Amino acid sequence: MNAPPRPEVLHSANVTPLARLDIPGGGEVVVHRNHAFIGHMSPPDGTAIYDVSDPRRPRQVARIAPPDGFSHTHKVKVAGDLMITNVERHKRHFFRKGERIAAVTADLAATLGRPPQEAEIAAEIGVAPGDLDTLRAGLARGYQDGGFRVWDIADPANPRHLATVHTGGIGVHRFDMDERYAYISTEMEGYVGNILVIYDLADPTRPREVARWHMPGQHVAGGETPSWPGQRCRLHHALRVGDTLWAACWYAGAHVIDISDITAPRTIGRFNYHPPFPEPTHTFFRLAEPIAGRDLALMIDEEHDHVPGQPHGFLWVMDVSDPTRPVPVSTFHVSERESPYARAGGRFGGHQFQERQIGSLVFATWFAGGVRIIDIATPETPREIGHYLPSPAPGHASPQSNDVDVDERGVVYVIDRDRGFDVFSFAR
Amino acid sequence: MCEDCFDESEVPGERPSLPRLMQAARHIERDFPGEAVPSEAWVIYLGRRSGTIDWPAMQRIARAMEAAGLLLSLTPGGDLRN
Repeated sequence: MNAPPRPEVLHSANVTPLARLDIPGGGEVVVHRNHAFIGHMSPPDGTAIYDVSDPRRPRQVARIAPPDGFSHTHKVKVAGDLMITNVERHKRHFFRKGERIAAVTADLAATLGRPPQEAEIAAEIGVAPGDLDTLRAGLARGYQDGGFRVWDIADPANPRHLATVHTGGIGVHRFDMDERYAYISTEMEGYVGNILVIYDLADPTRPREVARWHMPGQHVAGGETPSWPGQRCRLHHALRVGDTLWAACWYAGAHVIDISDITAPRTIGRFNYHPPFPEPTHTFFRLAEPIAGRDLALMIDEEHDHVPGQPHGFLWVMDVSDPTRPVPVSTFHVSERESPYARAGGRFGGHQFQERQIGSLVFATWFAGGVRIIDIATPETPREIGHYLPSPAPGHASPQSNDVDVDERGVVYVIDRDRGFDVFSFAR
Repeated sequence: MCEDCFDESEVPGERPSLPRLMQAARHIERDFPGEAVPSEAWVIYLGRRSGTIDWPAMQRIARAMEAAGLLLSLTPGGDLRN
């Protein structure tokens, strides 16, 4: 029997598909010196480096495995000759459920007057009965591997390991870096949820912690008490522009952090919109160059389990002329009707945009909505001027466009969370 | 829920059925002081059309939706879901 035909890539007339690679799903793509650096979602795939000098023929030149089978290294950043890759517990939220087994078992035994069955424990925790052994094994094993690794990528085809830094908890999520400092979002002993830890890379073989920043309530070892359940309020990641870090803090919204003294980060502004808005703050990024005479930042929420009546994850345009008081200018939304995959399965809404300024253009990923190219030349009324929807990966009902970057040539690179790496060009 | 990204404490709450929620929310929003939200903003908010919603309109819609959800949770039959 013939396999069903694969759906074609869908795109606007001003977009030209250049290449599609069938590679494992990715969490981040960064393009630097004609190379695409990709962090893959799941072990055994770690980091892959592609030569994209000819964007129609990306060519893998290097692969780096995760340090072990229990970690993923799905984030990557590059500055100068340095690359940093994260190390984070794979399936971290799943394995956290293992910490509840003992308490749930005891509670059920008290309620039922007998030892609970495996299925009852699993139902209470919210996993399949067959998952309990995996959770118990994970609990017994623990996790001490979280952190980040520093590499010399002067020759991208031969990355050279310089240092491994262990942090704490489940390890490192997304982060930013320049040639001198790394701005790491990580769990640390004594804190609830990810905080910011800044490392000095002056000697990249020995990164040195120079500062920490957290939100009030996170530092439980210091006597603070969180006012939220679980890890709802945590740093997702912070991006440096000038002497300021623009921090997306999940259900705590956006924070502006002054680092004019790198050893003493201090919050100077915040904007939290949870509630009433349902989706967590994923990325907050100040545009270095003004648009229409205004100092602006972009912000995007990560789509969650969608509930009818709530908006899908969307893009915010923020006025940050007074960084102590970020104010929304407008919000941009993509309709389910713009993608044939919106209700096919998987998430639909917003996730991420390119973390560099391309004039007034924003290249943003909507999971099953692909890459939306949005012009914010008039910040009050952002306007979509192009789109690119990758075809779903084999065995998947929808594309899950996860991360995007744009190089100096205007070539756009998009990585799918499940599988696939697409390259296209865009003309205004 | 995507267990790569979200924790147990981040599961969305129960919501009333969409038609009831919308009816209540639009009624509540009309009663707010100030300029009413244009119909097009509601259409965009609900994902039926792409486009821009300004901040004042987003605030009004979100507050009206929140109030409607609370109202219906206190109303018999308000827990119906789609």
